[in-house]
Amino acid sequence: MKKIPLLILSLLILSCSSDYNYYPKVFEVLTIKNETNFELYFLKNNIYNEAIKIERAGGSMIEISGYEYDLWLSEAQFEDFLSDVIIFRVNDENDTVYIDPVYYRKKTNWTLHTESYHDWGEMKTNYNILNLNSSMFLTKE
Amino acid sequence: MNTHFTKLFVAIIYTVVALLNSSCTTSYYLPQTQNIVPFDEKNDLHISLNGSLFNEQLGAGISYAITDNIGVSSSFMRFNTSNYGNDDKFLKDYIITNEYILYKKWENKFYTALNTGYSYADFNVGNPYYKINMHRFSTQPSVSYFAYKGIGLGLSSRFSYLNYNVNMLQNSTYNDYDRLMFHNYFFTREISMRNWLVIEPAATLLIHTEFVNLDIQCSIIPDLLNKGANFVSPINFSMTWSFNIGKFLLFPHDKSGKLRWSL
Repeated sequence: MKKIPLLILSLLILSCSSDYNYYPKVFEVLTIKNETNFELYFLKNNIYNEAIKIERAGGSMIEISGYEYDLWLSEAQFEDFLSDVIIFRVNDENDTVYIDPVYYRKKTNWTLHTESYHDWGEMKTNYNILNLNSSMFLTKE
Repeated sequence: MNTHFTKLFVAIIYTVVALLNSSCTTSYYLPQTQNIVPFDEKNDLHISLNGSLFNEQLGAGISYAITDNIGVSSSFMRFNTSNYGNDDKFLKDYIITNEYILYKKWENKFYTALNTGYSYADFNVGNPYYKINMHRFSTQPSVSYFAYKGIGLGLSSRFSYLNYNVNMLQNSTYNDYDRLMFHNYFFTREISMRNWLVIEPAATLLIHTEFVNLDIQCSIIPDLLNKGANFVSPINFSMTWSFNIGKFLLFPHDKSGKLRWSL
């Protein structure tokens, strides 16, 4: 009878340490840093999203969620995510100038930084960073 | 009052130790219990159980003294260091060790031994992403001194050569990026890069009777001696209980023909 509290404590500790097939997914975060002198805009699937407006100084973070992947986003999935993205600037004359997609649709042009940390379980984040500069604009004929 | 305080103290210690030892990060090696002061004499046959709250270890072993200076030992231990996967499985991580032991009992108080062995370990058995196994070749000198009756202190150090095989089960669908991510995710870069020499000093409190032994051991893998080996759990406390069925049942008479025990 007197050992019941110790038994409950043991069961509690054992139950806390048990996770069934625990494999945390990696958070994929895309950060675009605008190093041009222009304000840049980001469209995905032709939809303008205020939340992912690219800031001139610090960059803009896009967190991929709701996109089906196993543990981490594969290179093909990453490029698929960016396949319908366009990044552009709007000139004073309402003329649109695009960043050449070659620079941002290839995974290899993004630098990767992975972090693991603990916050009630292990979390992993892939920080994918892209620097955009003026030389990446498509020049007009 | 004192009894209640003692119970509370034990409960707190139990909780703290268990929480401290619930593994937070993935590791692929831990300072496993070292077998020291293995035998008194020829025909000693020990069966042993060992365990630890550190990484949920539970093991069993058997050792036999072929002569007064040579013995063999075999042991099995399950543990949990490889993070992720199904923690509920009994055989999540395991290691099997076989050792050849040279030992000498100098007087009743002083023992030396040299264990040389091979071990095989498997990590996160049955997971869908990888097969990781480890081959370990080790040698372990030890000295022990019994200062008071059956109570003594043993010092030992295991020198191990570790060879890991990391087999990505989905390798055929992986490209270079996926392989990079695999190593980042499962912390396998170090173990897949090269073989490792690991040094594990240990100190053991020995409480021995004629038939039953209790060993409480602390072993560590110090950073200073094992630079870059970040895939290891650095410390282990373990308790080993062994029973000499050789002396008790199979060979109950000593060298003078006298029965070692009576009812």
